[in-house]
Amino acid sequence: MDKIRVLIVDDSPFSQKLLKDALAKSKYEVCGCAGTGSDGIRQYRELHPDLVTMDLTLPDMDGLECCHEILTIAPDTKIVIVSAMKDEAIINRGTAIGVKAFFQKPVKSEDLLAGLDHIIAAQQGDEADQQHFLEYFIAAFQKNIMDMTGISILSMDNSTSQALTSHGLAVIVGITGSQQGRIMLDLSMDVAKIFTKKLLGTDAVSEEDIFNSISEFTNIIAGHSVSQINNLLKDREYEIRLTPPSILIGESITIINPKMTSNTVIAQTVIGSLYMNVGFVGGK
Amino acid sequence: MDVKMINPFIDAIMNIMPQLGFQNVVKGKISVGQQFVESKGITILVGLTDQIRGNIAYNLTEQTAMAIASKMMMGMPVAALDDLAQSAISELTNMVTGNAATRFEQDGLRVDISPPSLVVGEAFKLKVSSSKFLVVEMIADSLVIELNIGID
Repeated sequence: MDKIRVLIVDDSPFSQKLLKDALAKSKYEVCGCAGTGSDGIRQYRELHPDLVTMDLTLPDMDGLECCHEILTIAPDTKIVIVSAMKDEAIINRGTAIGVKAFFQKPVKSEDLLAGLDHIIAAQQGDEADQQHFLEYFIAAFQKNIMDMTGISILSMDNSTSQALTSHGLAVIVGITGSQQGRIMLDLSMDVAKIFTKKLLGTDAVSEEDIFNSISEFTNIIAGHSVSQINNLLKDREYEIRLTPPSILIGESITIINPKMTSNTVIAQTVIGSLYMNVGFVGGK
Repeated sequence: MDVKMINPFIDAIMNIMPQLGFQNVVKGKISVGQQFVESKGITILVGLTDQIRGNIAYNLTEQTAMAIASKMMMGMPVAALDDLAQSAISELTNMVTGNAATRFEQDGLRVDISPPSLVVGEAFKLKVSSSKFLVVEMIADSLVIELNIGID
């Protein structure tokens, strides 16, 4: 396996050496050392490291400011703070801009390696699990459209997406526990109305009926999928739970989950399209 | 829902905002919402589950969101609600809701929170609860954040 390349940003040659020593004989390889924030940014652009360790006090800028600059270039960058200071305010400010972990100097080699391993493993493990979980959501989506309304599905499509634009009515159910994310069902008001008529088996449906029915339908898809996943995970500690649905009403509204990559599944039916989006942000 | 349920959220804002550099954080109006939250432009939704189930919607104008994001990023100018500003404002709601969850737990109520969903757009409304919800205005250095708390 290729080594994981690390850029060290720290103005103290002593600390740079300690970090290099801590990472020696591991799966990490120090690809660059920078003594200032601006040099750190320059080397980041040049080297594209997998990980960055950042000191908080740099001669030319604040370490968090330097993190901010790097995260502007590449929002997915894994940056950890290694600094003499570590308090709640620093952790909150750092987390807010996307820092992955905080270590206090002097950091023990085994603590640093364990922390970095966790960040790398979390990313790899989650990606595999989440792709697998998506299949349960797709199956529940397909089955419940047919079972609950009798509407036949003409085709199912699946694509990765970042920001989403609602078609008129969107129901969001949050996912929490060992995996965090959300499921969203989205459809136009016209499709929602016809769908609700089919769900309730009546032609007279109020706006309230539509909101209630579509949110319950979303809840059922989410509940079925998560039950299957929980059976698979068995251990209660890894259980996934759902939050109650919330409903968004309005056209051309954008729904953004900054840390989330999600999949949109489109079910084309005779009454129009239903969009299900499932996204995860990685485990606890 | 019990009016006391809003206190952990108020305390959480009072605790977190000063850490992000806000000087003066006060509680504004409190009212009861009937059915829909009318968005001010930016709404961030966080779901709650376990012994407390519901949703909280943080409602603010785009200007306010940008001003808060700028403060969180050490005063760097924020001219638009770009990816980083979106991430900062989402993380703020995550911290506040997480802090409130810890406070509920200290009172013996387990709460788990979902990741925030940031909703942007003109003239949209949302439903956070099947019944009434409580609206609390919090003001941090004259920036208004409206909390819409719907607990089943």
